[in-house]
Amino acid sequence: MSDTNSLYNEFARLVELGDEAKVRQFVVDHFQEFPEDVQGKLTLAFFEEALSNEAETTGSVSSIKDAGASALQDMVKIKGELEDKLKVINIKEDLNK
Amino acid sequence: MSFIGNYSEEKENLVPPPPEKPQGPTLASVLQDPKESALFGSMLKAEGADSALMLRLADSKLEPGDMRELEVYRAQFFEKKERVKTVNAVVTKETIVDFAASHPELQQIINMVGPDKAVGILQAQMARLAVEEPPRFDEIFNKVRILGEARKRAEELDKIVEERVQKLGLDTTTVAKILAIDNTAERKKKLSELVKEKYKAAGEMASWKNLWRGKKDVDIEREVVGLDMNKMYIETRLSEIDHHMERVGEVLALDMENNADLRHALAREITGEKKVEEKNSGFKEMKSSLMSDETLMSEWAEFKAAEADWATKSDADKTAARDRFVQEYQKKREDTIKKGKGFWSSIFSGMFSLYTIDSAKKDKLKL
Repeated sequence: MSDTNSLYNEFARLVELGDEAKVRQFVVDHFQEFPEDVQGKLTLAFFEEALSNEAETTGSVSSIKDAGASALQDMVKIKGELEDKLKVINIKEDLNK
Repeated sequence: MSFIGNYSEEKENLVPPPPEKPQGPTLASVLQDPKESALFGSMLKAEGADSALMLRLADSKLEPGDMRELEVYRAQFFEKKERVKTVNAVVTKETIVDFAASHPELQQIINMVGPDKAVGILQAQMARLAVEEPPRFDEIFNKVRILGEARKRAEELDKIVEERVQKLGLDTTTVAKILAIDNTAERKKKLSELVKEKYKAAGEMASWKNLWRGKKDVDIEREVVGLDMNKMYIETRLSEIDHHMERVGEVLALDMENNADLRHALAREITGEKKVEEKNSGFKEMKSSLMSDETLMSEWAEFKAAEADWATKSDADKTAARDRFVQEYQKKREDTIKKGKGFWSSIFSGMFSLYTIDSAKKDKLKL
């Protein structure tokens, strides 16, 4: 049996066990034993996943910044309204003294 | 303008425009470059080009009319190469190192092969994928586009947020202190805790704001008894607002684009861990694409049993049938992988070629 077949059989055994984390680790641990074309495809698979994560994360960060920026704007507005109100109260207080 | 000038201009307007020059490299230049030629050949195969045409091209024995057909493929090839360029603009040393900072397996691979070689591997894979597996390449192309748009939006927001935070003079020192922690695990833990707290604070703030917004001045007047109470009420609210502004502004003010840990801590808080599970779906589906000596033998037995008059067939027919069976055995699994999408489909696609059915293995499949 060739080495590549042994590697494949071990990969298949782990897949059958259903442990995704172990399969991922196996692929990385044996990376340098794989032929070049397989290494290329595996690198691409991990890159693709990292790319998706980045796209999603950047999108999520934008969402919270968007929400946060508008919340800050609202707070500034409310703060202004409250401060105006306070000024009126203070003036009334001064007049009543 | 002088008379000569006018004349030249008019003459220029009278000259019909030259015929549109085809974009991209000529077919000859593609075929002269061994790498490009191999990719072009892969594309012809993937696109289902006429096998006779491919043979004539390989033997340099093209017939009249072939060039017209090949020109269509050449234009298609050029278009794919342009899309590869767009994707490869993202596949740089800086980008993959940045991506790897939050992707442990990619990090391990880069550590093994080095960032420069990793870039070379990935760029070559993009070119291969574009011609051999267009749907998968399109997925990557779209992700690159989405990332580009998200980054552009993030940059725009950064400017807005920076402006507002600076204007408000909010303090950002707490997070800066955490980012300075050298121990990666501790830094990530603290960031995660902080983001959780700040994100919760933003939520609280939003609900408080809604509560406040729902009340009209007249309601507030009714709520409070005297002038002093009213003043106290407002002062309390003002102090609350300042507190919330500090908490929200602290996270918003950060340079998240340049800090992967923070970006991911925040994204986890927003999207939750559920997305990770969703992304990993496809693992179970890929199981049916596994190959093994056992399934090869058992399916061979089933194949023979299903063939009519197997015993009476000649050895040559049986051998041909066995070759056909082996091809079908592999193709069925390859099709399952190709139908799949996402990470696991890509991993199984990579591992597929490791299981070989050589002549020794075929011999075990008794006729």
